Amino acid sequence: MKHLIMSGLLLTAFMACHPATDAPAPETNPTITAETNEALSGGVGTSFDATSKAYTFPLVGLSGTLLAQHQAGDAVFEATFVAPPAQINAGLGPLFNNTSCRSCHTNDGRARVPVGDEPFNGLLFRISGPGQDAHGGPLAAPGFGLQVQTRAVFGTVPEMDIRIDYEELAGTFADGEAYSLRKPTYTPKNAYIPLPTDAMLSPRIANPNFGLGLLAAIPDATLTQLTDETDANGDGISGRPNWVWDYEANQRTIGRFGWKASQPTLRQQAAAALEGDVGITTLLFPNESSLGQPQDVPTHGAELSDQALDELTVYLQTLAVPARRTPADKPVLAGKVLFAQAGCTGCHVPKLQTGPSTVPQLANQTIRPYTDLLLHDMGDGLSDGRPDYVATPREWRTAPLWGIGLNRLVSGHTQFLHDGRARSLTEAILWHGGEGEKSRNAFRAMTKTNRTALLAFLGSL
Amino acid sequence: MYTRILLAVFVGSLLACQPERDQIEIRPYPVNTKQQRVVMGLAELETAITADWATQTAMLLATVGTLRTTPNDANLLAAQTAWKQARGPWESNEGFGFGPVATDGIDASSDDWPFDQTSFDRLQTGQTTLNAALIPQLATSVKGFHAIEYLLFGPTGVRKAAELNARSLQLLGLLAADLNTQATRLRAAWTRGTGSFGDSFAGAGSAGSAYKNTAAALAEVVGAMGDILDELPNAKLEDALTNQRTDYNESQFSDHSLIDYRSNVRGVCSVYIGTYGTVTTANSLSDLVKAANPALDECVRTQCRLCIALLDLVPGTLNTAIFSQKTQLRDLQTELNKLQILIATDVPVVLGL
Repeated sequence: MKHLIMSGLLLTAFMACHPATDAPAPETNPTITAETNEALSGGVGTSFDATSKAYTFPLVGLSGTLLAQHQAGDAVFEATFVAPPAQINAGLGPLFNNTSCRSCHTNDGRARVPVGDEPFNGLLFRISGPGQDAHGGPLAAPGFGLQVQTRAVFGTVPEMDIRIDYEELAGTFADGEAYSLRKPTYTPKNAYIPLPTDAMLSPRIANPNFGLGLLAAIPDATLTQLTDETDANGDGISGRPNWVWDYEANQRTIGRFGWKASQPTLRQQAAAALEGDVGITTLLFPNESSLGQPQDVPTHGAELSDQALDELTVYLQTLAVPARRTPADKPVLAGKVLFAQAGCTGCHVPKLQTGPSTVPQLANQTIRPYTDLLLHDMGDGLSDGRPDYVATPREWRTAPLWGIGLNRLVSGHTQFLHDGRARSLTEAILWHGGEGEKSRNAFRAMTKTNRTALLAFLGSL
Repeated sequence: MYTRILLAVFVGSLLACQPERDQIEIRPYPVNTKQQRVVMGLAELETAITADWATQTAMLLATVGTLRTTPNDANLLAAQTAWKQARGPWESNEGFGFGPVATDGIDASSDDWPFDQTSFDRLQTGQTTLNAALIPQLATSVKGFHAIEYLLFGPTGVRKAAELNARSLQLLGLLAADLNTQATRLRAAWTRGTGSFGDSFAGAGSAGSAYKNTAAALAEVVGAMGDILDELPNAKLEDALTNQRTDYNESQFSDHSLIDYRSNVRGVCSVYIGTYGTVTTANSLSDLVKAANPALDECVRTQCRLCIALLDLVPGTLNTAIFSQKTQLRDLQTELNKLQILIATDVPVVLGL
């Protein structure tokens, strides 16, 4: 892994000073200070709200046409779609997972696993069969397509239900403190037709929406520089981009968005989600997800205008990253050092630079997303058993960590990872395997004080 | 006419607000314990509002039960009245539109909009087995207040009990029970001393709270107040006025939208001064603002009174007013937007939020 664009000199210096994982945390070291503008995770457009709406604000300074488009896109994001015929917001279904964008991304945040008799709000399942489609992507499972829709308008049968069971896996930290991880298993039931025996399912929790325009503005060249597919530098980390199909440019390109980086642009991400999740078609994806299935409906075409899709795209592009609250607190700074010492920054790259953009607040910004947008082998424990373009079942895109300290307030929970199995940041770290195993082990070996400091750092993001 | 006269009466005091807005003194409140007292007062208010909503939805459920047992027009009227009364605390609660009401889906399950009439008609006339297990699985656009409203008031607002068949009455009972469940969940979320969200909010700044400090908790409420004062004039009223269609009115079947909107504004203003029903908190947002900038506090209070007065002066119902009282409603929009700026922009600056 080439750390070309990551931590600054100060951080590197501390890494050198504290080579052992259990070296005393530098809480009392008076020389540790926050970097200049370290609170501005999203550059000049960073927002300064620390409430449950912290993910919902437009870029600071956004104005004029862009602000108007953002607000119009917000209305699309908030809109509840209903079954046709209807005068307002018609087009829901016939198959769907939810009725609006906001239903899964409440407060533009991260969804959680359903409990009790709750429906699947924000947790969906990709599905595919063996092989690849014409563009190298997943091959639709006959009768089910590429996503399981667990709901349908009346008169159409939902594709299936899925039961979730958990197994508790006990473990201990090096200091003897016990922990438990929950391992999910998914059992399809009530499939409307027999599920192909070779179908592969992949659970996906709805991700936060903020900061996406900044991630889109990171040059491809940066991601290429960060790539170290053969682990040439021998650090045990071998990130690589996902190569996916851009349906508008009609070409193969680097993927950036989603748990497997399987979407190349925000516009395509939005259109795909509208089609797959809500059953709303666009000019980009004019066919209902039921196309070719026994329950297909004959009406296809754009149920959402191109203008509305553009506005929704701008909305997603211009949601601001919330500022860090306490980057200069001593435990936070100590945790930052420990985070680097444990090797977490090998994938969760602290600092990147955006390139040109038509949006001034997105252009040429120093940002602190704590991701490299690359795929990494996360081990068998997190494998979903389903390839997605070049991503193997064990590979996942490095999740951005910015704003994660506000997750509890914004989303009302602390569930993480692609299927929400982790009930805390601690559990999320402990699930890391594969390229993340060294970091996981370093965390397990830390003293309680150091673990607390590292979590304080994450909480400050 | 009445609107214009009223505007003239208020215009003097409002003009006094305008020049100061640009020169508001930024004076972060120095004593956090005073902020803490206000946060505690706000939690007390929300406890009262959510308790009232739970009570009113229980009343609705009871009247629906009576209607199911004896479906006549008198019992239908009682259920309709109970539905309207249950709207009151709910629509007054917009200042607390955060926390579990959003993240646990209570808002969506109770008051999603637009109502999916096509789907609901299919459900009502279809063969899907109706039972309590079905309701949580339904899309939020076919349950909650507006599904109940549709059954109680009918698609044209003229409903006779005889039109409700056994399946409709069964569905009505299930939906009313689910609404009461949502209200009970929200009340529990704000019940103090249970490790609830209400404890986290009231304990802002303390260990274990999701709120880093009292300013964040205050900002949450002020932000929610600002949100409804934006949504009401610029989405709810604007869409109905621009499109000249009653189906953009939130409670179109009961034609109760105007009263809903009055509850929205009264609710925001009551939260500001720290009152709900018989509850008056010892410390309010108004107290904090007044201590920092008395002129701004007076502006907010005056603008609240003006907006409430304008709403009260709209004659008839919104289903008719969007056609006959366009000028009045446009004036109302203007004044609501002024109140929104005062609360969402000026108050946070003065309080250092």
